Order: sequence, then C-alpha cells, then structure tokens
Amino acid sequence: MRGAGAATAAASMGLAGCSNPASQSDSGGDGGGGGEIPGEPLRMACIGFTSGAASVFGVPMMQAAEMTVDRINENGGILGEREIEMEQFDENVDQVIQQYRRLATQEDFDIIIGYISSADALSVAPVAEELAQPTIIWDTGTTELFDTAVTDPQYVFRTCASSSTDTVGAARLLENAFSDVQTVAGANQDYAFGRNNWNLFTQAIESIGIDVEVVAARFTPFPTEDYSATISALSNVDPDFIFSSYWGGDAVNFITQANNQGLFEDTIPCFSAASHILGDVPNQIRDGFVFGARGPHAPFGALEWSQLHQQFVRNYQNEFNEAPYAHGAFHAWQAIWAYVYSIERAYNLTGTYPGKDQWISSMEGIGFDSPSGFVDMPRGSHNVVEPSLYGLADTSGDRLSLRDTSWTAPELVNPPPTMTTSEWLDSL
Amino acid sequence: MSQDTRTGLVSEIKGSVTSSWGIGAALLAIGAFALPYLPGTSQFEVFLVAQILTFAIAGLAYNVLLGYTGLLSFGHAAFFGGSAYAIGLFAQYAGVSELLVLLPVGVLAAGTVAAIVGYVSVRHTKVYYALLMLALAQLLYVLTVKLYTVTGGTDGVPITAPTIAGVDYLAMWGYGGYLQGVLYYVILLAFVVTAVLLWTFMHSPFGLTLKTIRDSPERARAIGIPVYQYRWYASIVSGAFTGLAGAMYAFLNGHVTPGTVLHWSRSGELAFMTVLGGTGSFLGPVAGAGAFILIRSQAQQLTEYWHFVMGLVLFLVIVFEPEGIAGIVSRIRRRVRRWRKDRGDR
Repeated sequence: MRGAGAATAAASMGLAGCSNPASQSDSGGDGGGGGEIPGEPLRMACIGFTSGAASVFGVPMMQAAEMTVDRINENGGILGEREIEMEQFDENVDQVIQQYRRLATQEDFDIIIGYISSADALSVAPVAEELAQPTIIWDTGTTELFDTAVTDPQYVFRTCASSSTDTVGAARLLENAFSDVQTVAGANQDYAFGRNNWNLFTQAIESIGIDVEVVAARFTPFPTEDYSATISALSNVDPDFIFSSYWGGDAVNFITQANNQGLFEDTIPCFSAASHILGDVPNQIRDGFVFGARGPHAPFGALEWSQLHQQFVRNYQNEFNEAPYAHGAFHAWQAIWAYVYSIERAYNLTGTYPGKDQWISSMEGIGFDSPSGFVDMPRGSHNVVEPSLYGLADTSGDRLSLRDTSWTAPELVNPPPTMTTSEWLDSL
Repeated sequence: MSQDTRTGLVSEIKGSVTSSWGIGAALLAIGAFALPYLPGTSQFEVFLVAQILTFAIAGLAYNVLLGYTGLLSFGHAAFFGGSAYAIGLFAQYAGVSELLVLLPVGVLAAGTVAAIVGYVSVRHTKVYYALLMLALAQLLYVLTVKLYTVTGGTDGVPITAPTIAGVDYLAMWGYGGYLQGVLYYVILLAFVVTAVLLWTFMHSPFGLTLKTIRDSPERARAIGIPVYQYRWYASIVSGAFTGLAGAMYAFLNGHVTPGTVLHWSRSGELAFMTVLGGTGSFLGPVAGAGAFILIRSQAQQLTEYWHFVMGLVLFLVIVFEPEGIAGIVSRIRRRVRRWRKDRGDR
C-alpha cells in the first residue's frame, strides 16, 4: 500500500478495529502502484464562508483544511509524492456561479471542494456536471442536492451527511430515548435550511409512526435578535420537546433569551446543528440540553477512544488554541481525505495515476476511518452516510462534552441510493 | 409621429452611424459578435461578457426611469427576479423547457408586475417613490422566501438549459458549445434589440415627453401631458426590459435564488451600474454594467473585503464624476477637440 493515507488508515485499523475498504483493496490489488505520478502539485480550491454569519462554520473548516493539507504535505503529499497546493476562497460573494466557473475553467483546479450554503451547492452542482469538474460538497446538508438538483451525478460528491441524518436521527431519538415525550414543537430559521429540516423531521415522525403531537412550528427570520415572540408562543403551548436547527448567532440569542424566560424549565431542547456554540457560549448551555452535530462530530465525549479522533482534536487545539466544536472542522477533514484516499486507492489498484473517470470510480463505494468514525459512500450513491449522534450536554467538566450519546445506524437515517429522501420516508 | 420628428430621428440615426461614436459602436458590435471565435477566448470570458450584456440590458432599462424620467427605483429586482422566477416556476410546474415559450413568459410576468407596481407608485416621486418601490418589491422577495414548498425558499429554483425552436443544443454540443455557440448569441441579440428599441423610444416623442416630465413635472402638466400616465408607461417599458434581462440571467446562471435576483440589493446594484456608467448618456449604463461586473469580479478575487472596494468606487464616482464613465469620456473628447483646435490654430 502506497500513499499518505496508508499511515492513518493503518493506525485506525489497528486501534479502532474498523476495516478500511480503500486500504484493503490497495493491499490486495494487482497494480500496487508504480506508474508515473504527476510532478506538479495538485491544485485544490477550498470554498467556504470566511466572512459573514456562516463563518462560524467556514473559519473552522478552512483551519482544519489547512491543517489537514499541511499534514499530508509533510508526509510527501498524495501517494507520498504529489504535494497539494490549496487555495482558499470566501463563499461570501455575490456571484457564486461566476466564481465557480472561473475556478473551474480559468484557474483549472484539479478538485474544487466547498460550499456551506445549500443555495450555493444547489447552484454550482449542475454547473460542475456541465463542466465535468470534479467537485466535493463538504458541508451543505440539503437533501435536494441529489434528490432534485443533480439526480444522476458523475462529478459531484458529498462527503458529509445530509440533513436526513440529522432530522430522521432526531425523530429516532424521540422514539428510542425520549419515549415519554408527548408534545413536540419546532423553532427554526425561516429559510431553506430551517424549512427543509423541519419538514423532514415532521415527515419522519409521521412515517415512523411516533406517537407525539406536533403543537407548534415557529419560523424566525434569519438572522433574528429578538426571540421574545417565539419564546412566548412556545411557552404558551408548553411542549415537552423542541426540535431546532438554529445555528450561529440565532442559536446563541434563542438559547440565551429562552433561558432567561424559563422556556427550558420543563422542555427539552434539541439542537441539530448548533454544537459549535458549546465552545462559543458555554455559560448558556445547561446540563442535559440535547445536541447533534450534523453527524457524529463531537470533539469530547463520544469518540475519544479513537486515536484518529484524539490526534485530530489535539492537533487542532494546538494549532488554533480552540477546540473543534464546529462540525465543519470534521467535515473538512473528511472531504480532503476522501479525495486523497480515492486517488491513492485508484493508483494502488491500477498502477496509474487516475484521470477523472478513474477518480469517479474510486470515489464510488469508498469507505475510510475518520476522526468521527467510519465514513462510507454506498455503491450507487455520491453521498456518504454517517450514523446519527445526539447526546446530552455535560457541563460537569472544565469543558463541555456530550454524555449518554444515542447513535442511530446510517441505514436507519438515510435513504438507500435508489430512493429520494422523501420516497424513502414515505415507504417507512 | 409627425413628419418633422421622423425626419429628425432619421437624420439623428444617420448622424450617429457616421460619427466616431457610431464607428466605435460598430467595431464593438463586430468584436462582440466574433468574441467566442477569437483566438484565446475561453468559456469563462464568454460567460463574463454574456453576464455584462445581461446587466447592460437591465441598466438600459433602469435608465428609462432614472435618467429619462427622473425616478429613482429601489424595486427593479421585482422585475428582474420576477421574470427569472416566472421562467423557473413555469418550467418546473408546466414542464416546458422551450426558450421561445419561457422568454415571453418571463417578460410578460415582469411587465405585469411593473404595470401593477408602477400604477401604485408613479403618483409619488423622489424618496416616496423609491421607498414605495422598495416595499412592493420586498413583498415579492418575502413571498418567495416564505413559500418554501412552492418556490424552494432561499434555495431557489433550477433553470435547466432550454431547447431553442425545439433543438436541444446542450445535448448536441455539450455545455461549452451551447454557451458559446447559442446562448451567448441569444443574449447578444437580446441586448441589440433592447438597445435599438430603447434608443428609438427615448429619441421619439415618447422619450422627449419623459424628459420634459423629468425636468419639470409642473410645466409638463401645464402643457397638457398626462404625467402619471407617462410615468406609468415608462415603468412598464422599464420593467419589461428589466424582465428580459432577468430572463437572460436565469438562462445564463442556470439557478436563481431570492437572494440573487429578488433582494433589494439587486435593485441597488442596477442603480449603482447606471450611476457608474452615467445617467445622462444613453449608453452610459452599458459601460456601467461592464465596469461594475469587471471591478467586482477582480475585487472578489483579490480580497474578501470586496464590498469596501465597490463602496469606494461608488463614493469616488459620486464625489468626483457624477456623470460617471460617460462623463469621463465626454471630458476626454472635449480635451481632444480643444487640443485639435489649438493645433489647427497654430
């Protein structure tokens, strides 16, 4: 087995006891490498919000991406020989399609990795297919990406879980861990992410047949500073459980004001995408608040047994003096390593450095260990699946972590490759 | 149109064509037509010029109100985005993907919105008009964001490459061939048609009446011009052509969201482009659209503080050259003329 991924994969296989199909194939393949590896550096564009509201995700993503690429380059680069030349681009631009076209056609990046906003991912994905440009969506959760925008993808992959994982996972959590809950309400941002999350969550509750009553659905403008009306309306219906996909400043404001007004005295709040605030405003987090992290991406608690996880969290803290509470940091690692593994896997199997078509074949069906556990791209799909993880905020230590974590297997929170999310939910 | 006006118009056209401006414009037109086939031209450059032409259409249309009628609108995003959304939603729900059907749908939708919004707004002027337009346009924006299940909310709607007269050029030639061989020329044709039609309108009695209203609504009213009615007509003309630009944007971009086409900042950008180019010149907004898109594209590549760069440009233009690029060109022309005259005198 040859490549920058070998050491990481081997370490994780030994310690975690998980298999790495990529590395197994590598060692068993006939080729075993040997072909010419391009001498010039690989050009990788990373796009995320480094300014604006979503920089709470984008900045940690860029930091993690930079750190990950540095580590790979320190070991010689892809296959131990080809250095990665990474350039960062702010997603906070007026014309995202113009920017994408420039990167793909003018600047000739080998791989474009990016996008946090669902509108941006939905806009560029069809363009990527038109231009036959290898592209990895690294953070966007919208289920519309492969359900409607690009239904027969070739060049576009997503290396993070879709919103299906978060929302169906939250519904399963209700079913398995909070069976005494009788009334549920929603508090979400009034834009596509909030609407998409709430629709999927309620559809999952209905399809799975969970015996709860949905008593309120509040949508607040994005961004909002004053949540008094929403909190008052939620207090009036007094739900047992609130599902919320709030993130960023909205999550902070909502939690702070809800705490002050006593909303969470008798109500369990469940936040599917706001784990980054565990690091941002730890004083506002009460013990027992439920948090998800757009996949199993908690820096402390659930995954600390994994050496790969420990290594990632430690390196991140050492370099940036903060913990990677934002799930985006883990997403960045996954996207970059998915690309590197797929190149190395193809090379080790065929003996030649892969072109676009070989890269696509290698990405399809790839699986590898990550700091968040095993990441798997099922055959026939361009979207990785991950288990859903929710846990209770543990405020007892000197840093916040998740305890009593509830895991749901990927196949229980994601549609099979042959179905859209909606079709799958209807069929449950 | 009286005989005198027609003769005046014809002689003006003749004069324009044979002037240095006319020759320059002809050269530009030839360059624009040949662009996709010029050596070294990449797909991205064609895309960028197509985007400039799209916003040039919108700028020309915007200037019908700002430059010729004296109305500052902060609601043109409703026409631009209204058209783009009409196309996207019609294609999605009616299953139509033919450009010759979608284009009239978009322009008609924008014209209808302009007729309604204009009818309400033209009774007011200055800041009241601007704010009324802003409020009415924001209604459309909010509706689009809120109706998530119908409109896709902030995720927007995809616009797949349309067939043209039943021919699926995308399938035949791939995206590069479709963009450079067909879509670019559709946009160029739309620009030429817009420029010719609006130039004719603005140099006809209709345009002269609008200028009279702009300069002095009271005097216009005193000589029997129905001011509201003409402002309303101007709003419809401006809205419909802005809708044409929105349609071109939708086809070119392939995806529209409320944030990119319906948000008030889009109206602000159209105002910016028009002021940057110069409201006092017919072709000023074309130069403004070109400069705006090129400056923004470069600024976004250089720094994430590109908003600052755009703000600085607007500040400099307003403070030092309120007539915009057209004003700078006029100044250069005057100096050249003076220099030539001085040389002749010697």
